[in-house]
Amino acid sequence: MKIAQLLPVTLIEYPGKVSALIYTEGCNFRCPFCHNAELVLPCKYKSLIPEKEVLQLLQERSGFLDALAITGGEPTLQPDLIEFLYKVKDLGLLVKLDSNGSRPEVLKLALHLKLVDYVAMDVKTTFDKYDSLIGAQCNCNDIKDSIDIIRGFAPDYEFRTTVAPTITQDDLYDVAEYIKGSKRYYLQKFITYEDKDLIDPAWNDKRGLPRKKLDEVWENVSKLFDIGGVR
Amino acid sequence: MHHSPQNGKGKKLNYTENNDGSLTREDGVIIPEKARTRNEIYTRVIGYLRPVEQFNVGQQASFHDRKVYKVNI
Repeated sequence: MKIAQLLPVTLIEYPGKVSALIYTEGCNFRCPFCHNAELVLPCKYKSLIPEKEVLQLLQERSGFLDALAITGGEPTLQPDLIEFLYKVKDLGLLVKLDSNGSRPEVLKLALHLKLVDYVAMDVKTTFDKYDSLIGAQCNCNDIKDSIDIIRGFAPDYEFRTTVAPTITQDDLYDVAEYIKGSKRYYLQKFITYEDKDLIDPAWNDKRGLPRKKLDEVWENVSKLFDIGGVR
Repeated sequence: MHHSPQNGKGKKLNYTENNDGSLTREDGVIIPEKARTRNEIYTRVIGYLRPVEQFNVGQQASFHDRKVYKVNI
């Protein structure tokens, strides 16, 4: 596992749980609005943390932690993810896995083996706009398969859309319509940090829909989901 | 709970077996030995349904020699 960063404790990553958080290196998307350039662009990669160190820290703290959250990058690209999940499960931790949904076969395997307790998947935008938004080629059938697999087999899950610049209210209604009936859906307001470049620095000054517009969308789609909101 | 993927074609992924008993799938995913389970194969080529494992050595060899083919009529 290429683990680039480790956050020993977080209270917001896994709903209701105390978790540690790791970031894996490498991503197959190039979303211009992504904050994690050092996990996505090979030219910005930094040093990795040995898997052993991470597992040791988790073991030491397993009594205080409920869960490990795995984000990235795109964790499902790690060839040895399944093996790693076994090791985490052996420590008695719950596992939350973030994914962009491009590798349904990995999600299916991990869920089938009961190695993941919570899946959080990005539905980036409406399907016909995927490629242009994420700056990479992506097979939307894979994204759709992932949605079906998560809804069918994940013990707990959420879908979310980061409302990046260029995403319109209509796009959000389309997404919500496609995944209606899902347990959780969150609209995430796009934010930038002054001291941190996005993957495409030209997007640093762009703004997504304002909160008011997101609230308006949520008001109209909230009945389609059990839980969710704007965050 | 049976919500099977509808959109992509049911992909069959090939794999190769590694020395440690793990599998490397063609998409690069490593499936640890721990994740593998025994797959019991039943066949009725001897006339009635029976696990291949319970055949005698000769019958098992004969089973593995068999080829699947389609007849176009």
